[in-house]
Amino acid sequence: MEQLTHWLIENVWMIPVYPLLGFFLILLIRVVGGVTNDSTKKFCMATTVLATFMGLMHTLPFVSQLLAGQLQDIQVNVPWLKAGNFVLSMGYLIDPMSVMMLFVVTFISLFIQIYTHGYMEKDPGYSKFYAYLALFNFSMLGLVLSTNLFQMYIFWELVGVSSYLLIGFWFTRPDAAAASVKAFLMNRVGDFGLLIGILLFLFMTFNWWMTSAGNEVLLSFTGMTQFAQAAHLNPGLLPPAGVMTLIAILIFMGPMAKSAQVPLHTWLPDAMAGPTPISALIHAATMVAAGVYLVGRVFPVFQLSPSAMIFVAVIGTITAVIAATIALTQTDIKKALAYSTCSQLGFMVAAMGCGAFAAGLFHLFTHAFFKAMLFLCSGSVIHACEDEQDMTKMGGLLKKLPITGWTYLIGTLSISGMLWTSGFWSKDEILVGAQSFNMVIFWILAITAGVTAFYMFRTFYMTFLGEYRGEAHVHHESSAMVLPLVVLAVPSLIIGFLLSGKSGLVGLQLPSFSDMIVLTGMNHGHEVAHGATHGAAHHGPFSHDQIGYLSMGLGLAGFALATLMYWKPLNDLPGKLRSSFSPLYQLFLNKWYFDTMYGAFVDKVYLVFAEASARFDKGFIDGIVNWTGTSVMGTGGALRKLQTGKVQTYVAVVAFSVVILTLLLMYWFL
Amino acid sequence: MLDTVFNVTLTHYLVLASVLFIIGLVGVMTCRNVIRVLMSLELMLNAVNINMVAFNNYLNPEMADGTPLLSGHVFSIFILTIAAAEAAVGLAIVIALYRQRATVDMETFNLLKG
Amino acid sequence: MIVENILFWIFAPLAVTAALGVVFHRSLIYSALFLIVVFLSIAGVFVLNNADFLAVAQTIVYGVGLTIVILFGIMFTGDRPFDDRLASPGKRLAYLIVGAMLLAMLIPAAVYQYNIHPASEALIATYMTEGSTGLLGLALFTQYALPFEVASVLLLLAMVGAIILSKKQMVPTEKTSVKYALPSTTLGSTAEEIYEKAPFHGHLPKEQPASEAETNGAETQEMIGV
Repeated sequence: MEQLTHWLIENVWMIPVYPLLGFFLILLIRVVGGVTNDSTKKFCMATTVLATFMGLMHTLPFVSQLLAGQLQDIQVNVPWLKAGNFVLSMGYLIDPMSVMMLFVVTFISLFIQIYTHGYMEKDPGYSKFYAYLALFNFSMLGLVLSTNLFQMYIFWELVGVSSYLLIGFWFTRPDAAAASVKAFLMNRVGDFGLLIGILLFLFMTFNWWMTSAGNEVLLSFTGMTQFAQAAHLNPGLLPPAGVMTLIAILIFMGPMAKSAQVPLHTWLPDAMAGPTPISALIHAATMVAAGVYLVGRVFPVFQLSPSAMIFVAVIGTITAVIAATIALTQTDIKKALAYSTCSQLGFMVAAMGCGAFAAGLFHLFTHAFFKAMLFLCSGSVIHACEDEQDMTKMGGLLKKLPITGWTYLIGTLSISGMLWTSGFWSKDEILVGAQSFNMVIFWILAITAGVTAFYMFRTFYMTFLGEYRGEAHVHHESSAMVLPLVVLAVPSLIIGFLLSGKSGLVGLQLPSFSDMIVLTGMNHGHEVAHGATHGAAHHGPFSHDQIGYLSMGLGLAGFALATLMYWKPLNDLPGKLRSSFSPLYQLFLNKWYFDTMYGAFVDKVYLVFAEASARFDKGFIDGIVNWTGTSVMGTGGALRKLQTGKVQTYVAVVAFSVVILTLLLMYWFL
Repeated sequence: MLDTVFNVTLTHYLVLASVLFIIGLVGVMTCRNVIRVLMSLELMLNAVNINMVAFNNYLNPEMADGTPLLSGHVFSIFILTIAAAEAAVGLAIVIALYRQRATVDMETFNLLKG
Repeated sequence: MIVENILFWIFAPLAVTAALGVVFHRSLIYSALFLIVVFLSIAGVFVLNNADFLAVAQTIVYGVGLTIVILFGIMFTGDRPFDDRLASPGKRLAYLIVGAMLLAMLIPAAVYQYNIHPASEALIATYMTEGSTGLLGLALFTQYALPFEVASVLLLLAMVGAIILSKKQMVPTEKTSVKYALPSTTLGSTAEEIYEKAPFHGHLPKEQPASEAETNGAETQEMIGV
């Protein structure tokens, strides 16, 4: 056992390699095998699941070390691209943050992959789906283990590619194909900013990396922390404040796209056109978390610019509000969940912006479990209702799908921040962080938390209670799909409490999340940078407990309202509200007109500009090119007149040239 | 003065060769009949031969051991050989051309016109 | 010496005059005969330069052999008394000027005082008694043996080439009507078509008036000397 643990720790770099090998193995099987029969399908499934399972096994020793407070950071770098002094490296970094993410990604992926077996069993692309899952896992795990921004950028793009493949998995459906392209393009916009931000940051701090970075590789996260500390002591190292803000905002554009923040959020709801396991895996638990993770990784850089922090907080808050309000009106169960994801991501990002770094990651951690579970529940419902996604055609499913229904209720309680559930603790932390930053943001987030409770219970009531309104014959749950639900329900309920710092109440002495997750490379005695990561929790009008009661109260209010409106709809209350707040309802229903605005922008501005550019290209640029060609042809046509084809002319030319050359020689040498 | 002109030296032969060469060149350039062009070509070659022989006679090349070499004569012989070959092939070409085009007019031979 | 001078002054003007005749005389046959005169005068010049073997070779190869080949060529192609001058007088003038300029370039090289190396007594004695033939043979078969052999190969090739080129089968006639790929595009495929389409620049219209054709024929006969 000792030896096994040792081996697992030593070979932690294998984590992303397993899924990569699995991916190629499945490709090989598909290429060689051609037609996939049942046994190869099983083999593909087993390959991917085993790869993820091995990843989880490698992670667990570190998790136990982390919980015992004994985690030793590991950082290994291999030079990848050398040009003189300029060395780009690849490597892996084990620190509290990456262990946390590794655990989330491998654990949730594992159960989602098991669930996939039940969900995709009848799909002709079964083995291909597993290949994509493996590729996605590889990208995500590589991203988590990255030691520096360059490496992370590579995996960041790989994550984008695999999400494109997975969203567009049913590429014959027009909406899925469009959604995959939309997701890819939106992410390109963000990645563009991210890349420029990285390069600008490198450009501005290049001297520091070359002279004072010590053993740190270029753009490594640990090096960034050191840079931030050095800059606190010696502000001369910093670029001008405006540039620093620009760098932070540009880098933040990447997370904005990947973590679906306003205004780059529109791809996430559309991405629900993909198979539901993908919605659970990518768009709830792991991929969208990559953005928040990146913010956490480069957090020291953000801290160097207070304006950028405000920007991040505001964007997060706006996202939380807008997405929550849209979720109020959605009748598609997956879309409602998608907007709730968006809103929760807004909470995380807002927490980051408020300086409550650990709170944001804590919410990311708990949210991953319950949101994955909620999506899997919705998948189970959709599967049972024969691909029906509209909640107005459901209802009363609790009797047919008891396990799904109860786990969905657990998830709903958790996301609503009900007492003792995971979401309660993490949302609390965020509100504490927000209070110390700005009271406006605090109140907005608190009320949004109440709205969250309202729309989540709305989906629950519409789906599982009341009378069945659909026509499809409802199937029973399959065991492969139920098992992950049950497994994920457990952390959804308790993991928040266990890591809240109050686990002593039940006799466990686990460290609190915010004590565990610290920035690697941070000097613990260093107050300036250290204080910010924990959030200055001790000022603001409310105490920690009061905030807990407040969020509970708002959550209960939302719950009560939802119960009133949707459990046993009295007097058509929703309809009345809808008509009395018609403009607001239209605004929410039309998703705040973001897609409409983008469409108008593309039609009225972008395409016009593009057409003008095309004309310029055809007229001027191509004109130059064509002119080059025609002028050569013209010159040739003129010169070929010299080629008379008559020998005598040639002889005369030769003789005349001899005369000229002789004269020249005489002129030069005599 | 007249004496210098009358007494033959190397220069006389060279001038003679030059004049013959230029007459041949002008013939090559201006004659339209292929055969006459060929004849003018022979003139040019002969002018060169005069050059070779005259130089040999006045400069008297020797081998390292003092034996006279007569390399001018040797070159003349080679020129003679090549001229003969050239005349044979040239006339063959002319005849082939004539059979095809039924003319010996240089102006019509312009297949290589650009 | 005086004899030498006199002979030079006979041969040189003769050669130049005959050369002008070669280039400018209206009749081709006459030109060919002028060419013989040029060759023979040059043979005389060779003799003046102690090149007796070359003089004989010149007479045999050029004066007789080559001239006969050229005469054969003239007979094959027909001695058409057409205007043997370039169509454009401007061009002709330009070419003459180019020739004159080149001559002007050559004259300075000709009058240059070369470093003359007089012949040794022994060489003069050899020239007087047995001529240059022996020395020439020695040079050809020792110093220049390889070029000599190569020249023989060249002659062989030229012979084969000339035979191949003038072989009769390659020529399209009405009977065989062999298709020629290259000229057929512009001129047609049979000899008749080619003849019809070939540009003659008006010198030899195909359908000449009978009288003119007769005079032409008579003139030709006269020129050939029949």
